[in-house]
Amino acid sequence: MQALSKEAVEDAFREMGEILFRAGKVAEIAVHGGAAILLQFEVTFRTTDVAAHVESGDHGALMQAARDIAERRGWLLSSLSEAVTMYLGEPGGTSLYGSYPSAAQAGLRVYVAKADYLLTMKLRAMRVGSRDEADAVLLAQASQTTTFEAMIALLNRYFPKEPPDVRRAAIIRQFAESLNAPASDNAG
Amino acid sequence: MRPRPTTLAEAVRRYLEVGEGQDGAFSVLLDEFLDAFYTETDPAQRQAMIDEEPPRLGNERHDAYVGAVGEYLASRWDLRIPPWSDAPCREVAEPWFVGMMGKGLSGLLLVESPIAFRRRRIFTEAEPLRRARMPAA
Repeated sequence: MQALSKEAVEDAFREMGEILFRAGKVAEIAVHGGAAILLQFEVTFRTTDVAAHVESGDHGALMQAARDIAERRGWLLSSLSEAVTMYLGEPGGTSLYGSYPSAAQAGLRVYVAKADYLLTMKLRAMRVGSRDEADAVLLAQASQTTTFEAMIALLNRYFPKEPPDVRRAAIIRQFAESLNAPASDNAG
Repeated sequence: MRPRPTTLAEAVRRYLEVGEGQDGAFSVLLDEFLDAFYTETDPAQRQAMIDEEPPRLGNERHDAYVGAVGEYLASRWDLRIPPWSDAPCREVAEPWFVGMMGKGLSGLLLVESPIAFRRRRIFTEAEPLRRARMPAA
């Protein structure tokens, strides 16, 4: 399976950065979702989407550059900006990943959602029985957020005005219990 | 790079061809198909995306789940339920509470699981195929 690789995504960022720099523009994006996991962890079989939120800069020029590169590479960057907007919480969940094509000649600055922030978004929207669960396990371990209480604290930090409802809290509690259960208890 | 599978049958074929055995491959291909399905707005095209019978995988749970997906998408989005989804191989013999949390959430999933899944003894959440791109019903 020809999955999207970290190197391929970084190449695309470089290409976008060169286009924007040559045009005298600078844009900033924050990468979320599967692409953020791909960039920070050793994972395989990610989606072909790069879901990102445009933080600043010339939105039109950025989207055009993204479309051109996606078309040339056969990717799907249609989700750039729109798909993740609904999940964004309080600031502070991202860190600078890189400037492209270089720090001295930046046309594109890429921020990436941190593991705890990605986990928060998974906890808010995780689909039971989907690959969200495996992603959430990875992110919980990476951010050392492995108890129900720690997960609720994380939600309160990034989404203080949107506490989980009873149903969502039950799912998060069960996730934490499953995370800490012996492997055999999770079968099925 | 691969484009999204544009039919449910294609997603399953692709899994058989290149993804089988890879962790999460079934879910990734299914999600990519769902994104293609939700992005399509023409009901006739959506119908065509689920009409073709997907090949059988030989994995009882996966085959049943694919059947539930075909039926659920049809009923959820006002399409015709594809006849292939009703084949006996499209259900599991024993109740299956999906995922790592399934057993622990059994009370919730027993209540929530949509009929297309529940009648196949698959117990999942109320909106099991939701994606960020899923339009409001």
